[in-house]
Formats: sequence, C-alpha cells, structure tokens
Amino acid sequence: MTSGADRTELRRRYEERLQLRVPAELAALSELSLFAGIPEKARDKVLEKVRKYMHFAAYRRGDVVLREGDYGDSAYYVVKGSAEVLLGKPAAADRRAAPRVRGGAHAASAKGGAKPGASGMIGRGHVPGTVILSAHPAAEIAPGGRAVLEAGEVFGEISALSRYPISATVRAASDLRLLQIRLPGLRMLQAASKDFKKFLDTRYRERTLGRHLRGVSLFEDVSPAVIDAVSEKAELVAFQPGQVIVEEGAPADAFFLVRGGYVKVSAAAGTSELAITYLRTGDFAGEAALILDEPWPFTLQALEHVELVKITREEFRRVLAAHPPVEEKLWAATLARLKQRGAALQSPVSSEYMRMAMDTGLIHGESVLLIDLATCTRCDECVRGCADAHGGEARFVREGQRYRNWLVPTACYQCTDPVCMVDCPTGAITRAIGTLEVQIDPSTCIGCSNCAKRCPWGNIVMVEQEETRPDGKPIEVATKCDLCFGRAEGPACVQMCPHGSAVRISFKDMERVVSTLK
Amino acid sequence: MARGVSWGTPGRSPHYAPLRAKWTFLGPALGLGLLALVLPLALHAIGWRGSVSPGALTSPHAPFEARCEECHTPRAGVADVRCQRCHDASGAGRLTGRAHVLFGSGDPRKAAASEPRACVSCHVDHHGRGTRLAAVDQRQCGSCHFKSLSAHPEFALLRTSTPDAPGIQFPHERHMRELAKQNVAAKDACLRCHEPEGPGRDLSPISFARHCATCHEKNGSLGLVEPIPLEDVAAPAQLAASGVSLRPEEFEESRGRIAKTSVRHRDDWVVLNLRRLRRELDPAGFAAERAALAAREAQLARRQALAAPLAGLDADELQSREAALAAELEGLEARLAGQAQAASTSAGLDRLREVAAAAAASGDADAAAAAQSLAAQGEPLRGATADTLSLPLAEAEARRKEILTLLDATAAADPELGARTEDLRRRLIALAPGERPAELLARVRDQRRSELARVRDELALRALGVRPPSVALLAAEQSGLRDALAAARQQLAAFDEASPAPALDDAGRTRRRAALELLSAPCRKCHVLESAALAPARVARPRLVRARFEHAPHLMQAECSRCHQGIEASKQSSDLFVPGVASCRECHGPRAVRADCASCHRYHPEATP
Amino acid sequence: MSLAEVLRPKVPRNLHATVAASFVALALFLFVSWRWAWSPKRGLGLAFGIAAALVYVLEMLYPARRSRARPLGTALRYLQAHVYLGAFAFVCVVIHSGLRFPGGTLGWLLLLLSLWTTASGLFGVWLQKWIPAAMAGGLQVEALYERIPELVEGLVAEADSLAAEGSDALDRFYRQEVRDRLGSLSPSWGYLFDVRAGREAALDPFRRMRAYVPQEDKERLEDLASLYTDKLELDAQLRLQGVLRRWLWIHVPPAGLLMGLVVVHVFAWVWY
Repeated sequence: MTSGADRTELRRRYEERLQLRVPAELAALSELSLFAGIPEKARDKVLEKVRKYMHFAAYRRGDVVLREGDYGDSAYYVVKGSAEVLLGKPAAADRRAAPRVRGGAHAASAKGGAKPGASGMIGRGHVPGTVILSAHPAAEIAPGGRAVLEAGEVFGEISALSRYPISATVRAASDLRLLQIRLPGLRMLQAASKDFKKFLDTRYRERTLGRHLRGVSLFEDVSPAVIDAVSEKAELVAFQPGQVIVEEGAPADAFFLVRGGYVKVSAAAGTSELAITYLRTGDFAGEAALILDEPWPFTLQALEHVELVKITREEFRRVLAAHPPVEEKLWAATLARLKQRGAALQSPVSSEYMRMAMDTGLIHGESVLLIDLATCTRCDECVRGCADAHGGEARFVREGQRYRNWLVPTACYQCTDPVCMVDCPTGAITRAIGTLEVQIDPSTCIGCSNCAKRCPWGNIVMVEQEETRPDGKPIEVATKCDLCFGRAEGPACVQMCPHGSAVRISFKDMERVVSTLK
Repeated sequence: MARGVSWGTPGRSPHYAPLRAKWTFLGPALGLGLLALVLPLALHAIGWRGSVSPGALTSPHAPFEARCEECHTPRAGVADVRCQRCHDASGAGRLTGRAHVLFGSGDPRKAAASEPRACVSCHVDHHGRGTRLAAVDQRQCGSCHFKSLSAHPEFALLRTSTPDAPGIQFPHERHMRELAKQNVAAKDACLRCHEPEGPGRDLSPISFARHCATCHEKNGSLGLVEPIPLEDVAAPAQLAASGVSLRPEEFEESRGRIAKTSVRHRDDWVVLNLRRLRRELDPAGFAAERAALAAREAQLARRQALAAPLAGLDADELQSREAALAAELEGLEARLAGQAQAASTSAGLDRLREVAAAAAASGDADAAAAAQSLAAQGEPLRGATADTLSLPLAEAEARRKEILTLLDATAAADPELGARTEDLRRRLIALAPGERPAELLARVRDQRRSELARVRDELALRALGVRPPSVALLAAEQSGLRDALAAARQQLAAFDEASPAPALDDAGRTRRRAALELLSAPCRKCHVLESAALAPARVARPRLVRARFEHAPHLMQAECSRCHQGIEASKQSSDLFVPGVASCRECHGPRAVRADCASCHRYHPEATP
Repeated sequence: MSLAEVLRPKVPRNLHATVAASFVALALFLFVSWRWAWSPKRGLGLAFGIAAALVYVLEMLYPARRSRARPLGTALRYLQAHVYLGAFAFVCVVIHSGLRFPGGTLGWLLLLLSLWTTASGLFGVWLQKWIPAAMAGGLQVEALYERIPELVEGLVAEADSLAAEGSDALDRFYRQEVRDRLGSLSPSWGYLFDVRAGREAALDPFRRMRAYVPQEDKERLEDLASLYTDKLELDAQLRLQGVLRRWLWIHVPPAGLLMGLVVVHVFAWVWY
C-alpha cells in the first residue's frame, strides 16, 4: 500500500508522464532543424504520420532523463537547455559477466557462456554493457567523468535501435526541453528520410560501430586502422520481420554483423527446413561463404526488426589480406559453423527444437517456463506458489501452446530484447544490467497497457487495482512474471511443483534444452 | 487452411483463473481428526473404557474389565500392589522379583540389591480370554540368565563340595544285595523304596513304616534296650501322669534297672528319655534348639497375624493399621539413622552388662554369670564397628545360639522382659549370616514400607468404591500356616515336657552318658548320635530347591541306573550319585525334548511356610 | 509410456533408501524378538511405535509446506519425503505391533486406518504417475479444469459461425447431429481406461458426411470434426483432471482420523 506522501508523488509523476502521451504539435516539429533533411514537400506528411511517436518533454534542473543500465526505447533531441552525461565507474565484474537468471535457465552456460566463442557456438559476439553514447562529439568519456550536451544534440538512439542498455546517466543540467522520439517513430523517420537515416548512421558509424566491431571476436585485436577502414566502408541495413536477408544458394557477396534483432539461420534438408541456429546482437554470418567462395549455404531470415552491418566481399577480402590472424579465426569459425550444420543434420531433434523455438518466438526468452505434461498432475501448486509470492495474485496462467509433451504457459519469457519495454511511457518496465528479470514497477506503471499489447504471446496481464482514475475507471497495473525477483529460493513455480514438472530453461542453450526436453 | 486439433489450449483467458480453496481437504481432515480425538476421550471420561482397551482380559480377570482402576493407576501403569491384592494377600512378598533372587541365590544382600521387576513385565494381560497369564515367555528368563540349556551351568547340588553329615547310615550296596537275594530285579529294586507318584510329591519320601519296617521291624520291634539304672531315666510309672501311652508288658524292671524288650521306631519312651538326657548332658544345645524352635513358632505366629488379609478389615481398621505402620516406620527410620552413625559394639556390651545386673538382681546366678562371661568376651571388641568385625560362619552361628539361650533364660527369669526378649530373639533369628544390623533393619523397614503401601493402596481403592477381594483367596496359605504353627507348637511342647534338671557332677555325667548309649542302642543301628542327641536324618546335600524334577516321565524312558550310575556299589549314605546337567542334555535340547526354562524351574518360590 | 516407464521412481535413491531402511528395521525386529520378549509397550517395540507416530506428525508437514521452504527446499523434496516416509512409517507400525494382530478396538482401528492411509496414498501416487502420462500421450488439448465449460462454449461459438458460413446441408447436419453433443459435457468414466475412448465412433458421422457436402464445405467439415475432437479431448480432460483432484478425499480425511486416534492411543499409553 502506498502512503500519503508516496501518493502525492505518484500523482505528480503520473501527471508529468501524462504529458508524454500527448503527441507533439506539428507546428513545433516543423521548426526543428532535426527534420531539415526531410524534403519540404513530404515533411508535413511524414511528420503527421510520425508525430504520435514524438513528444515534447520538459525537465527541471536535476531531473534524471535516462538512467544508466535501463533499456531505452527513444531517441532524445535537445531543443533547449543542456543535459549532462555522467558515466559511472564500470563494475569490474560486469564487463564479461554472464547475465544472471534465477530458475536455472542459464545454469549450464553460466560457467563459460560469457567468453566469446567459448561455448562452442561460434559467431557469438560479446554484448558490451558499456556503450558510449554516440551523442558525444568528442572522444569517449572517461569512467567517472562527465560531459555536457547542448541544444541540437541527439542521444539515446543507439540504445533504442540496437536495444542495448543505456550506458550513461543523463541528467538535466538546467531546465531542459527535449523532443522524445520513440522507436517506431525513429524507424519510420529512417525509412522516410534518407538524410535522417544517414544522419543517424553516420553518427553510429563514427562513434559506435568501431566499438561494436571490437566486440566481435574476429576483430578483437585488429589494428585501429583496419577498424576505421571497415567502419567507413560498412553499410547499415535494416529488415522487416519475416523478410529474407539472403537465400540459400544465392551467390554470397557480403559479411553481416547483427546490430540488433534476431536472425534465423536455416538450411533446406530435402523437403523440410532445418533450423541451424539463430543470430542475435553482436553475432555475425557470412564468413563461410566468403572464405569458401561458395554460394550461401543457408538462408538468413529476420525474425523481427533487424539492423545489420553489411560488409561487402571486396572490403572483407581487403581486411583479410591486411590482417592474416583474422583469416585464421575465420577458418575456425567456418569449420565450427559447418560442424553446426552437420550436427543439425544428425540431430534433428535439436534442430527441431531450434526451429520450434524460432518459429514460436521462444528463442527470445532467457528463461522460459515449461511444464512437463507427462508428470504434471494439474494441481495448480505452481500458480498458487506464484500467487503467494506476489501478494495473492498469480502472474501466469497454466494455459498456452503445447509442444510435444511440454506446455508453454503464459509466463514471461524474459526476452533478451524485450519488445514490451519499447513503448512504455513511464519506464516502469525495466531490466537492470547484470540481471535478466524484466520487472514492472507497480508504483510507476500507469496502466496504459502498451506492453500488454506489444507482447506477442500475451504474457503481460492488466490487473485492476483498488484505486480509481480521475475519470472513475479503476487503475490497472501491468503484471507479469518477474522470476520471483528478491525471493531467496528462486522462482516459486519451479520450487512449488511437487513433481518437479516445472522447469525454466533458455532455448539459447540447446544442449540443456535437448537433455531436459527429450 | 484447416484448423486442425488444437495443441494446447483452444482459447486463452485474458485473466488469471481462480484457484481451488486451500482448505478443501485439510478442513474435513482436521474436523475428523478432532472428532476422533474428542469422541473416545469423552467416552473414556464417562466410563466406557472399551474405546482405549487394547484387548480382552484373561477369563479369571474378566470381572474387572469394566473398571480399569482396579488394576491400573493413572500415569503409573499396573503397580505390584494391585496384583498382590489377590495373589499375595498376606503380603509376604513371595511373588516379587526380590523374592525370586532370594529364592535362587539364598543371599539376602543380593536380593536387596537386585533390580525390582514389576509383575506386568512378564505377565501381560489384555491378550484375550483364553490366555494363561502364568505361561511366561521363555525369552523373559533370558534377559537375566543364560538363554538355553546348552549354557546351563552344573547343578549347584553337585557344585557344593562338602556334604553335610547325613545323620543316617545307609549303604545302598548292602540293601540292594539283599533285594537281589529275594529275586527282585535290579530295575525294580530302586522302586521298592523310592516310590514314584506319591501324593503331591515326585517320589514318596522315605518313611520307616512303609519302606524299612518290613525288614527292620520284624515282629514289631527294632531291638531292645539293655537294662538302665532307674535313676537315670524316667520310669513308665512316672510318665503315666503326663499322658504318654506305654505298654507295661514291654518293660522289665529288676534290681533297680529297667529294660525294654520291644522298641518300635520312634518309641515314645525312648524318645522322651533321650530328650531328658540331652537336656541334662547338653543343656546349651538343648536350650539353643528350643530357642530356635520357639523363634520359629514366633515367626509363624507373627506371619499368621500379618496374614490376616486387608480385605477383611473395614476402613477404620485400615486407618489404624496405617497409623501404626507409619509410626513404626518412623521409629525404624530413626534407628537406621542412628545405626548409620555409630554401629559399634559398645552399646551392645553395655546392654549385656545391664542384663547381667538385672539377672543378678533377680537371683538367677547362672544367667548373670553367662551374661558376664559374654560381656567379658566381648570387651576386647569394644569400640569396633560393624565394618571391622567379622566372624567365621560357624562361630557366628555358635554365638547366635549362645545369645538365644541367654535370651531364653532371661525371659524365663523375668517375664516382664518377655516382650523385649521376644523382639531381640526375633531380630537375632532374622539376622542372616554376613548381614549387618543396619541391613537387617533396612530389610525390616522395606517390608514395613511395602506393607504401608499396601494399606494405603487398599484405602485408596476403597475410596474409589472398589470392593475388596474375597477372603477365601488366602485359605490355602492360611491353612498351611496354621498347620505349620500347630506342628511347631507341638514340637515345642514336646521339648517342654522334659522338666528342668539339676546340674550334674562328673560322676552323674558319666552315668547319664552310659544310659544314653544304652537307650539309643537300637536306634544307632541306623542313626548317629551327635553330642547327646540323635542327629536328624537328612539328605547329604540339599535337594533341588529351585527346580522340580518329575521322575515319572523319565522312568518311562529309562531305568534308574541310566542316570544314577554306580549306586549299587555305594556304601555310604553321603554318596549322592545325582547326574549332572550333561546327562540332561543327552535328551533335552533345541530339536529334541523340550528344554525351556519353565519345564524344570519355577520363578516364584512355593508358598510353604 | 509403458507401465514400467510410468512407475519408475523420480528419485531412485529415495526408493533404495526406504527399502533398505525397511529391511534393516525388519532384521532388527527379528533379531531382538528372537532373543528377548517383544512388547509394544517397552524397549524397541515402543521405540518403533514412537518413531511411527513422529513420522506421521512429520507427514503433516507436507500440507504445510506452502508456507515454509526450509528445510527441504522444493516441493518435490517434500513430496518425496512424504511418500517414502509414509511407507516406512507403516512398516514401523507393523513392527511395533510385533507382527501380531492387535487386541482391542482401538488397535484394530489404528492398524486399518494406517493401512488405508498408506494404501490410498500409494494409490494416489500411481494415479499421479499414470494419468498425466496417459493424458500427455493420448491428448493434444490442454485446459484448465475450471475453464473447460467456458472453452466448450467458445468451441460452440466457433462451430456456430463455421456452420453458418457453410451450405445448408452442412448447417442442417450441424444443427441436428453435432451442436447438442458439442455443447454438452460428457466426461465418461471410460476415459480412465482409454483417453481416446469412443473417438472413432464419435467422429464417424463427420466421415460419413463427407460424401454429402459440396467441395467448398469439405474443409469446413474437417474443421468441425477437429472442433468436435477438441471437445472430446476436453471431456477426457474433465474426467481425468477431476479424478486427479478428487482422489485426495480418500486419503486426507482418513489421515486426519488416523492422527486423532494416534493421539488417543498415546494418551492411553501415558494414562495407563
């Protein structure tokens, strides 16, 4: 229960946030130099379409705009005033620490998953927690340091586009007026205006791409000159959900590095399709084709909105020529990839699990709750335990898709790149660095149900509270499974099942999946 | 596209589903549990005990089934006093574990130190109407003793090394030769005298009349008594007044001597005169024996007094008995406490001197002299405590006899001291060899305590409304006591018949001695003269006390000589020829004839007085 | 799943431990009763009785586990402890009685209730192993027990709209032969023996109807058949899940009764 003081604060924040739901005025938007790149004729039309994703926001001095570690879904354009960027000291363990998830989803891979390439899955990049904001024009800010952003600066678009956690806290240094452009708006602007896209891309290319490349094991210890050259020549491309990126059998002509989103890697096996693996942020593909000088041995398909860095064949060859160690690593990666494919052929089970996971979207989840229907006695102890751990209301329902003997109930999968976070106007839905529980703070949530609508599997449920809104309807709060954050024994569903039928696993760890699900 | 059968849930609910209530099953379970708890206890409280009874009682106990309190004490199980209410109504404690240890080992100290065993630890009831409570599981014996016949030690009968003097001369060899001359087969020869299946006994006791008289008392006479000077014996004429029946034709008086031509076994005249002579020749022994008899009579009398069952007393009597016992217990405790501090001989010696003075004052010079001599003897031991004193067994017995005689004399001299001497005599008799006075007192105190407990328990039960058990339960024990008491009194009377005699000088002594020899001549064919009296005939070693042996089933299997080997060559009556346990094991064992403890042994001693 | 697979213990180590402990207890009993007289009131007999009573009290921890996680941690461990300790406790009860029949009413009641509780518990274990396996193996649909009526209503609505789109023949067939049965739940007991009992017969009308409907309706007919199959599976779910919920009635209330009588038994021992 919230106390009196909390309530007034809540009210104030609520009202403050309400203003975020107000789309920006067309007139105010047209004035901004940000949109100068859009052709005159089309500007109004584009802005009209996009304006519902753009809001003006006012901050008083000292208000925090962005918090380090949060997931962002918007780009911010400073209209008036100044903001300061504060970089906290990086936690020593965070650099290479594997994300923790209770419920054992990552139990097997906790030991070696962090090191790039160590778990046997090749092409995995390291997702760095600390990414320098591309906004800063100068060189990187030293840890513990501070920089100032003036009017005309843009920040936060990398986090939004790539779904990386925010790397530095941004605070209003004076009374600040910002234009917040949310991700759908960003995308639309990118598509509508080449200049806008170029503006964003250039900033990414100049500041961040190099660092991303460094995160990839291939380019780990390559000389800065090579990185710069590659960054310059690389192309930034985006794909819609379901769009095929490359077809198997087509001539291979590029190397792809995934900036954001999930990509499905599959190959044809007779008449059926064999899912080999998936690629996520920081992974790459195409090295086999380029080295072996063969057509694409697999199909790449975007599972959702995907942004890729594309390096052409000549450019890539040049890099290889200039830096032989990269080629060696590539060979290793190629072999591994081929082995993967062979393994997929030989173990159709794991391939099938992979395909199922990719088709149903379970691949996104860091911790998926599965119930073994062959031992589940439908006693509802899991739901009861969940309810007891959350003050009387359960956070999932024992309903959902069934796969073989396993039921996938509607319990949040704790996606790696949570789409539910994208549209949250208040930032109530968060995930901290180093953990994987996506949590909704009930006192911040205003019940707009954007997250509930966005979740493709309906894992977020709106629950009515006792208080009512000003217009008389009851306030709703979004609730979802939070892996029993703060509970010493871990997720209640797993702990309370008397038959051990409930397990939480991640479909990214295919060995564990096969051993658990067979 | 075809819909297909759903995999999973056909339609998803937008809300969370309500759950089954938590207490659906636990509620009724708790309710039933409380019911199961309350109902029997309520029934129990109003008196219906069937709800908690673990089984039916054996049929003799069936009348008590409705009232558990008759046997059970709340929170204390079944106390021994309850069983003893009916099964040991005289309170002799015969059926306790201590009695068993005493019965088995003969050592009161060991008995006192032994762990008490409750009756119910072996006799478990509530196993149905048909159970025999007396049939105790063999394994119970094994908890203290060895487990099987194969571990049985050699019989104590054979382990004691020195036989007592048998008191009779009987060579088996001679007798069996005689029987063989009469063409009696060897296997029947034994049975001529050792008759099996005597009434209530295993083998009939040897009785002169049945077994010896046919050969030894031919024509109704053992032999004859040579003439004895008249002044040495009591003539038939003198004895007519005392009611002893005599046949004048058997006597021959001539020249101041008297002879008896025909002497039967246990001839009245001979026995009487032997006693008189004994009294003259061995007054100490005579007195000692008389004192022992008197003590036994007193003991039996006291037991009979105690044996009046509590059942026959009403509440007032019970309460007065309780008060008396409590007072006595207090006194005993005080004495024990005093004993603990200074158990020395000084007090005893002072007492002796007092006795001597009293005797002197009353004119009994002999008694005074005896007391003085005892005191003088004891002087060197003044100040010694019980721990430092120790006497060899024989000497202790001798001392006991001396003091008993002295007490007799004291009582005779001064009847007013009768009660005190009585008390002292009882205590002296009760004193077991090796037992310190404190231990005796402790024993007495324990006995009074258990009596008090019995009385109090009886009072408690009367208050509950439980009827006392029937008086007829004691009938057997009381009649046994009565008979024993009568016999003891008869023997005592016989002793008293012999009137006190004046002191003898040496010449008189010699003459008396000669008379004794002549008188006992016919008897000494078999009997042995021991310090002026015929020794009682007894078996060389104690017979089986802690076990019973039935000859009858064994005689069906084998002849006497199978176990009693070599008896035909025996020339002395001190020979025993009882086989050891090894011979039993020839037939008895785990896979042969039954070999459990109860087939030979008893736990409780018999109720003989 | 074959019977052997279904009955396999989840944690074989617990089964081995329980069997071993039972054997040890029996051996101890045989040895002691051979040497000394055995009595339920004293010594080892009493110890076994106290052990059984204490274990029965511990068994009650299982329903209480919701509020406490320690010391065993997961509910799986609690249930394992409940089942195996319960079986062992029954062995202790039998040994406590000295392998003799009890004498009085209370003794008989206790023995029979112990037997019933343990047997019903083991029956429940068997049910809980076999029914989910049968459901997982034979059925595709999965539903919450309380929502089954609602789901059936949803199926009926879907079928209604499907039939409305189709031809008259289909519509007539639907209204006459399908709709009523689709809308009414019929959880037959036959599903306990075969989760797909009666399916062939129930789907026969649809198969027969194939010849009589126009081409464009054939797919709708298939859809109707699959809707009906969904409903049949929901029937089976209703019956089987119902059994899985209700079997506890034969286990928990007798267990409560048993506990009450155990208290009376202990009282009798203390008082007498």
